[in-house]
Amino acid sequence: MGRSITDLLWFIGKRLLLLIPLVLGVTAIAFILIRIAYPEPCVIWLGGHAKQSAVNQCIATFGLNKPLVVQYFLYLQQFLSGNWGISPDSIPVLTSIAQYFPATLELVVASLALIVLIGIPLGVIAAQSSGRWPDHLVRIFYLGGWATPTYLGAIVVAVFVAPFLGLPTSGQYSRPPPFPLVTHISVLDPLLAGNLPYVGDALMHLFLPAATLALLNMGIITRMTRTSMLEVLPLDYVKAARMKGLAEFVVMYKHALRTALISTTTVLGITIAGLLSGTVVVEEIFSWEGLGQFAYDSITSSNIPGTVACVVIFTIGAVVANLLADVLYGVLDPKVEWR
Amino acid sequence: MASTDATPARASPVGPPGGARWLPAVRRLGRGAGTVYRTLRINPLSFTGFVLVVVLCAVGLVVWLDPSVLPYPALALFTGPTRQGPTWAHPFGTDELGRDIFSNVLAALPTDLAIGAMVAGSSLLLGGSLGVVAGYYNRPRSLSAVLSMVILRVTDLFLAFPSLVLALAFTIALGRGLLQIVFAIFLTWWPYYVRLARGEVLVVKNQPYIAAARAAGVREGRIVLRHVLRNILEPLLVYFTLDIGTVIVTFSTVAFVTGALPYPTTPPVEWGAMIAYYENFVAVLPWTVAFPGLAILVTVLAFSLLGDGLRDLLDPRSRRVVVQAQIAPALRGGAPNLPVGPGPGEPEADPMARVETTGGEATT
Amino acid sequence: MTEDPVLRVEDLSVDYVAAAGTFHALSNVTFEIPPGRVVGIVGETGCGKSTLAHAIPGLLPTPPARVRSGKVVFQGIDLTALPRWKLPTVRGTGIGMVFQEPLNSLNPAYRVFDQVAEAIRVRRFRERGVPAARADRGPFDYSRRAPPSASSTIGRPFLPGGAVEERLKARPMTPASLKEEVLEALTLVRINDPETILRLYPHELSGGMRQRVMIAQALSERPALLIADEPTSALDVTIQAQVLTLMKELIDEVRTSILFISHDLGIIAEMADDVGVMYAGRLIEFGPVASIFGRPRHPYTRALLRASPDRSKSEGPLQSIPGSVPSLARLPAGCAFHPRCTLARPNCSVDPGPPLAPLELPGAEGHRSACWYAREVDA
Repeated sequence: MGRSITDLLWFIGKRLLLLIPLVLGVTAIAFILIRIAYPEPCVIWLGGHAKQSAVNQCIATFGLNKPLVVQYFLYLQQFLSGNWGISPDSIPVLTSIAQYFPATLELVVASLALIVLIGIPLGVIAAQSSGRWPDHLVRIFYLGGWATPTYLGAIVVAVFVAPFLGLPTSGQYSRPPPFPLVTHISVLDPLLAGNLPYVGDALMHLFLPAATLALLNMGIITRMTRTSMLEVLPLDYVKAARMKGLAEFVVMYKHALRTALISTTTVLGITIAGLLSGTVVVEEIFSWEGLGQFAYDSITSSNIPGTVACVVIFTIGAVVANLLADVLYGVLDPKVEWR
Repeated sequence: MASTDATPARASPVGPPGGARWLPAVRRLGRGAGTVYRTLRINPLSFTGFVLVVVLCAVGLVVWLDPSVLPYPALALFTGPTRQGPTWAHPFGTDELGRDIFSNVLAALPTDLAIGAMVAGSSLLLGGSLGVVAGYYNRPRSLSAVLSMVILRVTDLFLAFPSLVLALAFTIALGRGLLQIVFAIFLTWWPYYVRLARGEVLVVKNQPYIAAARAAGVREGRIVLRHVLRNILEPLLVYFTLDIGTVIVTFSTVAFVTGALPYPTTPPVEWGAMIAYYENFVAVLPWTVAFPGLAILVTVLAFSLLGDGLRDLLDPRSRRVVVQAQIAPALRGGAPNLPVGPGPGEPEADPMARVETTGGEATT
Repeated sequence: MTEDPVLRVEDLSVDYVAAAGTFHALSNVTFEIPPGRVVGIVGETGCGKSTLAHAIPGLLPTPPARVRSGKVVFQGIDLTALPRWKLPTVRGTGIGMVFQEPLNSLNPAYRVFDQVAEAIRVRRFRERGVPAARADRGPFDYSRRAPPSASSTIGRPFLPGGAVEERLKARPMTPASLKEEVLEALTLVRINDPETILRLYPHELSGGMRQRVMIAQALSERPALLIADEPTSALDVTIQAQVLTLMKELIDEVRTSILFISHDLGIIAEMADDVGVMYAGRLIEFGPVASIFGRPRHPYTRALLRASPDRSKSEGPLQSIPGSVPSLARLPAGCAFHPRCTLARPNCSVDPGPPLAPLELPGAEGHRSACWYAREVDA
């Protein structure tokens, strides 16, 4: 056990193995959900006026007369073989997910970048001026973001801020793109096709939803940065860095923040999970064709297979985000040994 | 140093280290409240939050006890001109059918506060007790350890879900309605408290006074109730305060997304449902969205500011920051004997040095 | 004594302003450090010696600290009047510092090499002067600081004159030369296997080793003044002895002026040329080490010596000082020591005591005391 790349890969491998019981658990809960929502799925499937014999036939086909545990394993078998159900518009759920996931990833990564670029320096500024007005302003700012429901923030941005800035609030592109959507990542696709105007267009479309998500989810990271900076600033090595004759900026960002970030990574997982949840509302309001919008539509149209699939995917996303945060923590903290 | 640094502070955030925990609980509580108040006074933002929470709860209570204090009955149609912006008669304006937004926003206040307190409170009870069990009873190779492990595994499973998405899914599975949403959120909410309570118990459990109580022959059940519970209560309550706001946000989001509350037709009135309904008019009647939204913002902000300040007070890591480290030697003053001599590792500042008025702990 | 002192602290008073009140951490402290001398400051916990160490290079956080009055004149520049952004030009190559807590004095996130190399880079940067484009701005503006006095040693090496210029010619700053210099710095502090050490992180080093690296880092900038704030207090006794021996050897080799702060009279007696004794934020006695320890001229110093196990002159048992150190928020009127003083007379509770004035006594040249009855104190 050490800090070599091999150790890290082993660590990641072991953590990914832990995903297996987790997926089992998540699908079990999802299965329970389906059974609560649809005590008699065959009746719904065939319509209210179906003959009893047809219903029985259906029950036998899908194994609904078997014990619940067996039913769960049948369901799991289907799930693992890629049959995640079919949406009411007769598109397989897995197809929709594959199509929408990259767009959501793009949105989350963009807002994460904004959080890192804005939220962390804000935490540093607050810590530097602890107890004075910049600190209070930053606290109001991040608590305000925390206190604003995502939908409210998104509506305000879409209806009032967007016209003011002259930025688009709907979809990924202004006009249907003339190139194939290979990756479904709105900035990457035109780049691959060499269509630069569309890259700019995509960035303009990306900005508002990403900024909305970022502003509303910045709080935890800013707060954590502030707290750990306050903890680090009185320590001797920060003074020692000052006593080397380094400029205050270098002392703050190279020495104090570098160690404070170790604590900040512990909330990175929560933040990414929050961003993922936030996409459900933000994508709907900004008509961003991603997983969040798909989840929103599935939920509001009672599309159970779609909803369950979204729950599973969002959960895996959150778990992977936590794994990423742990890896980053270990990379930043030389005391950590991978095991 | 690091271990002794954080823990005694938890045991007694006020007063001199040691000793205080043996004081009668009531006196301690009173003292604790005093310190809380003084600390909040020093931090203007937290004090604002504290005042706001008190005001909101008072107004909510009045509206709940006597709905006739509302200028117009909740959901009443044509209370005045339709589609009107804020005026003196209708401070928050009216909607397309002349419902008074002010009355409806006020009518929703007790509902939203109750939802927040209900979900956070029941999660505190369930999650907190499971956490205490999982944290305290984990002697290896015992039945209780197996139970603790099961609790933790299930908790981890639930914690893995993004709670909003799971709550949304539960809501549509359970069917629409206020209690359904409350239950759905509760299902995703309690695991946080298990983790929190367990972590606190693990810290408290290894304190010398627990060992002392055990050595004195105090029964295990009594140790859990008197010593462990007493000492994990403060962090849990702080989290609970912060959490009420979070629940309100989540609830209103679920109400907004699922449309599970039939806002303009029947009670209960709730802010998220109001916004969901008025979103269709937001461009023409912006006040119909702005004021319920502002109500959520102010309420949640109030709880967050209060909880944030309390957390600073109770978290030994940020507490020490209340007074800058260099002050510690200056404040100490009262050393009865001379620490002069070649004592190995005599630290410049006593980590237990405290500043009474701020409740702050200062170390070098 | 015609040479200008490296550091002159004049009438320095520092307060901490907290919600609980104002704490007079330093009151009218005056002393100076001549070039090449080691000045020790001794006093009990909480007497303000650490505040003094931090106040000199402007390390005190403001708020809560506030310089009420006085000057810190370092090589002719008043550091208290220097704008904050200019302080880095004095630190490092001007004033170096070794801290108390070896656990925290090195940044846990960087390897030893990077931390020492950073200090060396700062020095090399200043030795070479500022690139033309930046000549008139920036915190590293070395050229525009107050005109260097004849005795200025900022950026001057502790090596014989001209050596730096030669070395600069011989060694432009390349990664290889940087590593060489880091190794040199680590060898200077008697680290046996510097090649291995410089690849390690601080948490992989022992406390004593960390403190050596800390000293190497501070000295690698060739400071004109080194402040050592209880550099050995947090170490085990055996390690403490090693580090002290090292520092003693370095004092002879390096020839910088040193401000050595400790609560340990034994250490101070061993290390320092001059000693200042602090009590309740005041410097109450100052003078050559032999004179202070041989014939203290302040009742507090005398009591301190009697209470100290290894310095106890009297044959009898250790004597503790009655009463307790006053809180810095509620200092007694008059002399801060008078409630505990055996020599106290009525005027001591009114009069704050004389300024630290030289005693015109035979055999006590340079010995200054802040007691009215200094002549009556006898060890």
